[in-house]
Amino acid sequence: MTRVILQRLLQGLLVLFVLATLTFFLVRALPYGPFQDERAVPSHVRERLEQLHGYDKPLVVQYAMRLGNLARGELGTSLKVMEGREVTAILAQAFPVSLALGLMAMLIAVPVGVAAGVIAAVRRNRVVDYAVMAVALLGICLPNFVIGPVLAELFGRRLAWFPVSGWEPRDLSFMILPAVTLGLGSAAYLSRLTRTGMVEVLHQDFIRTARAKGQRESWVVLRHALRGGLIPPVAYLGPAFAATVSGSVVVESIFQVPGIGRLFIKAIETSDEALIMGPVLIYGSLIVVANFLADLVQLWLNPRLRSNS
Amino acid sequence: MLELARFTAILMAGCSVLTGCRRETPVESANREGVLLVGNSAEPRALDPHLVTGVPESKILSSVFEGLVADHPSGDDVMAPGVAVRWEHDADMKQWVFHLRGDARWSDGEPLTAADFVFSYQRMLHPSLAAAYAPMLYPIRNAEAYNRDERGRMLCGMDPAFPLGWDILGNANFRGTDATSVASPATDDDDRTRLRREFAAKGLDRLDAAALRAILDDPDLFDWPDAVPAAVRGIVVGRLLAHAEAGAPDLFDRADVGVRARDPHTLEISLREPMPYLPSVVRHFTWYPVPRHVVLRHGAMTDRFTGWSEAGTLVGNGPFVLNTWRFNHFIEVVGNPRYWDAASVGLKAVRFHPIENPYTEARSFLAGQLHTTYTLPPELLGRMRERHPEFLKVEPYVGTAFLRLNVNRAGLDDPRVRCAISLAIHREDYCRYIYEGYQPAQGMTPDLASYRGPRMLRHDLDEARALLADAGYPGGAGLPSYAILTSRPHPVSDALQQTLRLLGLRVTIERKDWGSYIAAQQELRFDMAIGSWIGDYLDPTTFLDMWTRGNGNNNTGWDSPAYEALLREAALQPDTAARFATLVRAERILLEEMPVVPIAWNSRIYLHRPEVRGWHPLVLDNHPWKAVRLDP
Amino acid sequence: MTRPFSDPSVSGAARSGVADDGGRSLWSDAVSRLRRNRAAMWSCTFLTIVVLLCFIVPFFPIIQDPAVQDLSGRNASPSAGHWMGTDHLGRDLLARVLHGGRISILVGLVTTLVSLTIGVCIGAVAGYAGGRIDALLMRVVDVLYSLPFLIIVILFSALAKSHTERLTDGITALTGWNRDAVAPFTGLLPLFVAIGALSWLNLSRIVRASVQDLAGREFVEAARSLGLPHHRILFHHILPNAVGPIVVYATLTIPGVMLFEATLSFLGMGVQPPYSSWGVLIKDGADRMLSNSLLLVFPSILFVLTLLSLNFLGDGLRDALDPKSSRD
Repeated sequence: MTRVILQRLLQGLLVLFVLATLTFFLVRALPYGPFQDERAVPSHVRERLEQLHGYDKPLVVQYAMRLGNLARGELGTSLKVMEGREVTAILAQAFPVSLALGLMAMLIAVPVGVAAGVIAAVRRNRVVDYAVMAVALLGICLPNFVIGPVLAELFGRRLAWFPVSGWEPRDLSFMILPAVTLGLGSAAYLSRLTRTGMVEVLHQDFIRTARAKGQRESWVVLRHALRGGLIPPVAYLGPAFAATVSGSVVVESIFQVPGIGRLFIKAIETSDEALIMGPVLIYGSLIVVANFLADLVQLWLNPRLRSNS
Repeated sequence: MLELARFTAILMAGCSVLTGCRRETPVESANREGVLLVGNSAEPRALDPHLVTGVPESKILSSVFEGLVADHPSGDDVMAPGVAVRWEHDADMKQWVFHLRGDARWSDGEPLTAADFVFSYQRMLHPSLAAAYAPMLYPIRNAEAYNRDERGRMLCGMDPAFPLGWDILGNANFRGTDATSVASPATDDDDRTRLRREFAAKGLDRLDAAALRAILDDPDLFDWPDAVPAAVRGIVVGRLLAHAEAGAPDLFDRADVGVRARDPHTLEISLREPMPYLPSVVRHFTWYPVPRHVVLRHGAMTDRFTGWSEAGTLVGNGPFVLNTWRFNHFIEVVGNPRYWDAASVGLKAVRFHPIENPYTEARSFLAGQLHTTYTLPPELLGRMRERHPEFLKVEPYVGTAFLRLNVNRAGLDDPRVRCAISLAIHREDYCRYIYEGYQPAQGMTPDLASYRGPRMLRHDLDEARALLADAGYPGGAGLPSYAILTSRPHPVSDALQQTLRLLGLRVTIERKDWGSYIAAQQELRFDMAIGSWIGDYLDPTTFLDMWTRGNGNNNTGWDSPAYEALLREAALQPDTAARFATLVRAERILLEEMPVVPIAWNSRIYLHRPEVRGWHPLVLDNHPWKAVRLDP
Repeated sequence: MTRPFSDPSVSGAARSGVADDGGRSLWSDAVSRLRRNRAAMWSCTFLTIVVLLCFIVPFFPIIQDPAVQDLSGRNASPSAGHWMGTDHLGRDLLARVLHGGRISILVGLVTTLVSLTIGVCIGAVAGYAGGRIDALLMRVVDVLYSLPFLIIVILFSALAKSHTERLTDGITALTGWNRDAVAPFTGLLPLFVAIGALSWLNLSRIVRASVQDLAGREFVEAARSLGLPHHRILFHHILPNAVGPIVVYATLTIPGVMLFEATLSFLGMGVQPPYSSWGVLIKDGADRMLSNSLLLVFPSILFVLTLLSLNFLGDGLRDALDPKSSRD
């Protein structure tokens, strides 16, 4: 087990290295730079800024320097969006917000999605199944830029149950509407995937055997079938989790949440390399960890695999 | 599972508590406390007046700083006393004296003197600070040379005792040229050719000590105009070398930049040209003073982002002081007890919310979270007119929405084609249906102060078609297909496409992300581009200066010597009426040549609560926060 | 746990894989099973109607030109002249929805097909091979997940523009068709590449998980012991049993890419104005939700119903193709 973890750790570092390299060169290939502005920046000012930030050096040199800094754990300072500020300081403010919101969204999405999928699978091809799947599909088809404003308008403005926008770290009421908006899509995906996984498992012999033994249906479903049925949703859940907790620009914009998503988009709009690199590396690390955890959960769900490896 | 149960319990409790006691909206409690809640679009990049360029930043800065002249709550053209109690100028409007109030203080209690202003302008203009908005200070005598670090000019050209006048010496290569055009004698070896090219590309001003020494040893390495005698060449290089060897000390005094503290309360500003509207210009945030003692405590004068302008460190001289800065949440400024006019400040605090999504902002406003919004999505204008006329504000603004034409493109290089495009646009309809609430543009410059432009924009489709035929493209035949460059989804691109098809033009729409859209315009990689311009101060030059050769905001490839001659002529006229008449003639040339097709004059369209007092329509939209009050 | 060799899934897989001559009866079985599925048949009918409406009706003159504006008649309510009313520029909404449907259906199907092909292959190989190959492929997937997709799109759309224009010119010259009719479709090609190339990531992970699960089952051991080559085991024995999650995820991908097309369209890739797609119409409609909600409602209804049908049809197909299900 220790070897597996070590192996994955090494692979993860390699992933981050490749990611940092690709990101660096992708950003530098953008058709615009961080020292441009809507109102033209005088050329002598631009030259001076390029000099200040080392943009006048050959690209390979800059890449080597950047990599060196990253290896020492220095993300650098923002070049444009919040010029002069340490990226670590910016992320220290924004990431906890995205994390809290994402966790809340997942807390809503996972139980709802899995429960809906299980119910639909058990009542397969009956009215309940169709109803649950139709609602789930609605959740997938209605994008968050439609659901978000509708929720905000309805529960925020008309009913005034929740604030329509804003964020207070310890006030749950600000979190509900964005979390629901963010979690709805994942819940819908999860329910569809859980249903298909469960349907596969419910066919298998050992379920028949269990039923034949006279075990209660709910026990059969929860104890025996759920394990196998969760294999497809768990594979989806890894990346979905990483994506959800690392910020969503649409939801953050609709509900005025100070998370990473909007910062990241602004950074891309202005080619702010340091502020792009930080979130990318965070997201990359999350993906690596989440996918590793998903693989572990799969191993646990599937005893056959364990004996194989 | 236990976690889930607990979570649900908290959730339910939260809901019931919320529905139970959310009776008072943020606006209502803010009314009681005297706090103004302002929608301010974007998170400021910084709060250093020398380093920011955006409108959201300017709103916050105007609460914590105050310039020599202050904004008036009800009249853009009324110059209210700020740090200066009064000011006077000489007959040709080039020498200005500002008398500062004796009781002016920084928010930390230090006295605010004329020296602070001199320091501020020096810092803003210092080449090492690389302030993007430094050109705002170029009206000051020699400010441009100093900011561009024109060393040759400052060390030799401005020296009255120098053996050769700048009118001749200035023709030497100080700023660098296209190196490939540098011819090298056949006797040169590769090394010398390389050096010669390198030096020529950089220009004398930017050569380092080693390069200058090399030229001193071997004068042939640098090409001089024949009019500059060899002896003078040696002196020039010698002075540059001495300067470089001394570690390139600051040349502010040497450059004789036209700003001087006569005494602690008297500031003299000398301009390069007459400027009757200087008081209007110095209201801009680039002319605010920064606290010398605080800036230097946090770092060198020319260090960018030393942390002197953060919450807790920022010291200002405005009616408010920075209290809280929570990234992407809000910025709060509270009353400054040391402000000279603290007694007349009507608010306890102002809170700026950086809400970028205009729909979210409108929703927040209607839910009672804001007193005033930054903007209103055009789609909501009709609905607000119907449902909430008491909140809706539509006011003239110094801005113009236009279509840039790249005059280097085939077809668009013909002014007749460009004018045909302008004639095809039905501006009244555009303002009724597309730029709702805007005014049909009648020229490039909207009406401001007493300036009225030439008003020659019309809609006449037949004449447009005739012009196109006259240019050799009847019915658009023979013209290539053009793409309208745009960034944010706005129906104006669709409308223009339909309009231009009426002329027989083949037009596509090219959407780009914001960065690529800006870059494509500045590098002239487009055919037509939707754009707009917001004026910085109350003078037509803020709309006309940009269409000149080499101006970074021109982006059309167009220039006209006649146009620029008129602008220069106007710049030398101290009399406003005469100056405006000249500018009208200049604008006429612009509209006859039509490198840019004005479509609409902007309006400020926003939502605003009626209990906010002391807030009047202003063309520049700079509402002095100290005059605002809240009806409880 | 040991199971008897008479596992139904083994015989099913063996029938579909080893005994090829049983194919026809399997297929006709499937069709008759599908016919009995009422939800699937209704969906099939609905989809046929939508596709016919979107692809054929716009060629008849009863539908107006979706690009023609009538500013004074904008935001009109539904009427005899405009069955769905008009949009914010006075264009006929019905025409825009039908024309947009062509683009969206095309985008949804083609990119899903691309993503399906890549995702299934990568996921299946990784899951079946395991070890180093699995690690390599999955780490590549990790990197692709984390890359800033927006930057790639910006770069790619700048790069692709001149190429697609040349292609449009070529097609116009070759066929003599109207350039305006060709451009919206050639403009989609970079979009297919961009979305197709990066939307297979989730699918590959799901397929991999299912394949890993199936690869350990007895019927695969049996196939191995028969000495069948790996590709035969993988594609004829394992994948047919993983068809459930694959079909489901594929049908889930379609709405995702259709909406994603709208985002990319605002960055200059995909359908460009005055033409539209369902995604763009919904996005435009969402902005005008409060001023003219019909602009959101009509495209959304058609979009949701189409995808609902596609899902029920997908479920039906999956059930029909899966021999096990006939016994339930």
